[in-house]
Amino acid sequence: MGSKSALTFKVLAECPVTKARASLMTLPHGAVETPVFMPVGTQGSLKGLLPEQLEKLECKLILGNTYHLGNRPGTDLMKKAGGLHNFMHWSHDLLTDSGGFQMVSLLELAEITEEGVKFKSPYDGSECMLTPEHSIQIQNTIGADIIMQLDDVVSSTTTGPRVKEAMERTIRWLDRCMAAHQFPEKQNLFPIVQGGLDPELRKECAKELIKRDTPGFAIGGLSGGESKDDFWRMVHISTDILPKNKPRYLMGVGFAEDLVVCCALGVDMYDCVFPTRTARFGCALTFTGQINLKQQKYKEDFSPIDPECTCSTCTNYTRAYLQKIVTHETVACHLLTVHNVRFQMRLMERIRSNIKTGTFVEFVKSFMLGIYPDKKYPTWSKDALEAVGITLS
Amino acid sequence: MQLSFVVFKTMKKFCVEKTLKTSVGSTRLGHLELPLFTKAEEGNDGSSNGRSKIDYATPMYFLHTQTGSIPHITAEVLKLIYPTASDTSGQIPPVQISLDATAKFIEPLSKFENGVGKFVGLSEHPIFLTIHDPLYLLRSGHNDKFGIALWSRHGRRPLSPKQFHEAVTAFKPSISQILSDYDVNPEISGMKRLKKSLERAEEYTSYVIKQEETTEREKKKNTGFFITIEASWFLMDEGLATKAVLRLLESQHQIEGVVLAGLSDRFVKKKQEDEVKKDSNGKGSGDSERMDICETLDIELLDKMLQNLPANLPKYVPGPFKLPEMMDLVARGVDLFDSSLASRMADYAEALLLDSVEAILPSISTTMVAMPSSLSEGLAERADKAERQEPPSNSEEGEGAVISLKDKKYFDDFGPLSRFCTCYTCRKHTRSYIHHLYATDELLGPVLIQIHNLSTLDRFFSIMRALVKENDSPESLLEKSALMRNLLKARILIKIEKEDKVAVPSV
Repeated sequence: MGSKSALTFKVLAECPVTKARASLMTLPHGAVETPVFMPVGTQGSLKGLLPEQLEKLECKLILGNTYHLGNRPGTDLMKKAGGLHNFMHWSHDLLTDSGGFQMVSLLELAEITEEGVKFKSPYDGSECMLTPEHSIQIQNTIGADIIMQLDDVVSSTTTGPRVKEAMERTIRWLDRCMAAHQFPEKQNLFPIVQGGLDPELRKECAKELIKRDTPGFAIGGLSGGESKDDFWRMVHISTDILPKNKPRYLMGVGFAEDLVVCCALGVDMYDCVFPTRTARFGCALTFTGQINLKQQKYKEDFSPIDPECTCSTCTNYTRAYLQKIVTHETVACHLLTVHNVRFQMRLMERIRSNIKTGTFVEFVKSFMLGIYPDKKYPTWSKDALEAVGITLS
Repeated sequence: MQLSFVVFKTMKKFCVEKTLKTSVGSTRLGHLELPLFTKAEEGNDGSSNGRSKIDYATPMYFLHTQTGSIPHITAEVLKLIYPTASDTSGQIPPVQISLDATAKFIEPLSKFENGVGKFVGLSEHPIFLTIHDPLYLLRSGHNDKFGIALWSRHGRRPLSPKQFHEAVTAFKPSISQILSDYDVNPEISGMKRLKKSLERAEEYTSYVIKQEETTEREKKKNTGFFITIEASWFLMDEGLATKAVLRLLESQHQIEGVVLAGLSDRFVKKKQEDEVKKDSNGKGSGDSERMDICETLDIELLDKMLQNLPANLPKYVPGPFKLPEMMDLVARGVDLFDSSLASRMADYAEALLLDSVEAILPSISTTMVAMPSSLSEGLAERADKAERQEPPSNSEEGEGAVISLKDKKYFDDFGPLSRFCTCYTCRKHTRSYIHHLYATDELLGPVLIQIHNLSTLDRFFSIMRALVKENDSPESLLEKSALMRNLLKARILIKIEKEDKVAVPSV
């Protein structure tokens, strides 16, 4: 590790067949076993759950959004509060994004220049500019254990010279972010591999980034509407180049199948709003797929969502009762959020323990069979797994 | 303590421990024993369903629920509010569930066999099945010879005495309110309508009691029944109302309590209509069906309703009354309340504060121990990390018994909701954070406020019980109650000097 790093990464076990590995990542607010899924707590809370509930779910690393927190409560208050950990009373690890993605996706008028992302303030309409320096400054104030560089994000379906421009600018912005970073000894700045769906650009970007001594790497610009076939190939190419002794974070990925496949491709960290968002719509995650509790068929189903799940929802509540309250009572939202976060944690636990016991390949096969009992596997997952030595039959 | 336990075991489920007659009414302390439904283990002797019993000190409150859940509070979080039975108040409240919002449970529950408590994830709490949600406004019409109308977000649903009996059989509550023809409005109803309502009260009550007598032998459900008496009866014709109540009470050995209904509805309805017209602070039309917090109480009407009720029955007044009004009700012998006040306050980001009472607690109670007036440990630690600053000037002036966390002045207030409170929220979270959660519409805001307000309500009832217990002369009880009531009523907290000298306001 570089002398200025606030992260240690120790690979505990590697799958002898695939690129999967189980590791221990130690951050300023505690150690985290990877592969890890990070639920998203956008504005300084995780969808109605108390920090203590997250601890019980064995969730030790969550994500906050710089764009939202920078607006409300704002950096002045964040500074007074002594950072986000203190503000939200969270004693474990945090990761913040750069704010650039929200800006480009939420604000129609955002314009990207070499200087930064220019946008109209949604509050007073004034012209604002988010530069790499400014993003890091906000993230330094928030104080997360892992912070992200501002990257030039283009839609994953964009083609042509703009993709190359964005990739090259992302590297230039990384250098500016690194120069602006005030606390490398307590916050870990991750660069982001860009390059759209062009294998050569991806390779070039990854090779350029690894010249900098950063504590970990992210793979960005994916999971945005591109085909799954493109998606896995880009992940595969990136993890081939990124160093084995540092964590790899795939941004915006959280479906169970994607997590299992991408772990096989050698990814260590994930985040996604999906498990918590789908909870609001009455959907619960299980190892055999997602169930929608609004459906009438659960009316007299007195079993828990998942009999094997030990979360407080599954120990106290039946599907029949959840059917009566989903999408109407906030309690239902809390209950499904608890279950869905726990599901993500259980899935990652299974992935890790199977890597450690050398049974990862068997696990992947049985997991895939669980969601596709008819063995009609999607071509992309078959291809992706085949590429790392797992044949689904 | 041991003695009173033994005594009341041999009596009815409710026993009065102490009564103090004052110039306003009979204030009392009691014990209510509620059976907890538990399904028998396989292989038992066939006498099937077992019930353990829980003893509650009254006056007390039931936890208010919506569609079977305490608003914003899951079973897991509830345990953080009432961690053990040995906390301050020593009792984990029973739960009130209303049939209007849960009528759709009847079908699944008749197959579930474990009762509604287990169904809604609250199996450790005895259940009080009421007819209406104490926060949901009733509408007129559709009460007829077949039964009454239940209103909920699903619209209207008829409820006949037979269906009610089926509901009780399926829900297996510890106690249940008997349905009542509530649709009498002094402003528009004639005497004929009143008489119908009174007749039906008798009909429904005798039907339910008869049905229960026959089923009880088979199923041993042991549900206790509360009759309902309507405020509107007394507003229209006190004489007729009194006679009807006496007739209802003739079956007294079967009746275990009384619901005094309509004390909150009347006032709120009109106010609510005005508010909807004004459409002031963005309260949607859906909200107009929910009751606002009751600022007033018709004492004269209450006294009329209480007049002929026997002392040995517990009395429940549903609705979101403010704390001073709850004190008035306690002073007149009302034993049972619900936490709908807390549910409503969570909507408004309002926190209950007993600070002014805690600050002078020794002059109110000799046995209650004052909560420490300091930041709790975790918060003090974090206050060190937070930039040191003078306490916001506005809080130095003091606050009333209610503060709204939507107020911008709490933006950078890193203190707990209450300096005297040791609840989960006050131990771990700041006003600033809660203000932020409400400003950003995060679901955690109402969760934290609800935790605090339920804890505070619990504390309030503990103080109320201590007050009645410690005072043996009507004068001292009235004097101390008045002191506490004034403190809770005061808009602005009396400035607490460093030496804790407190000037008591005269209201």
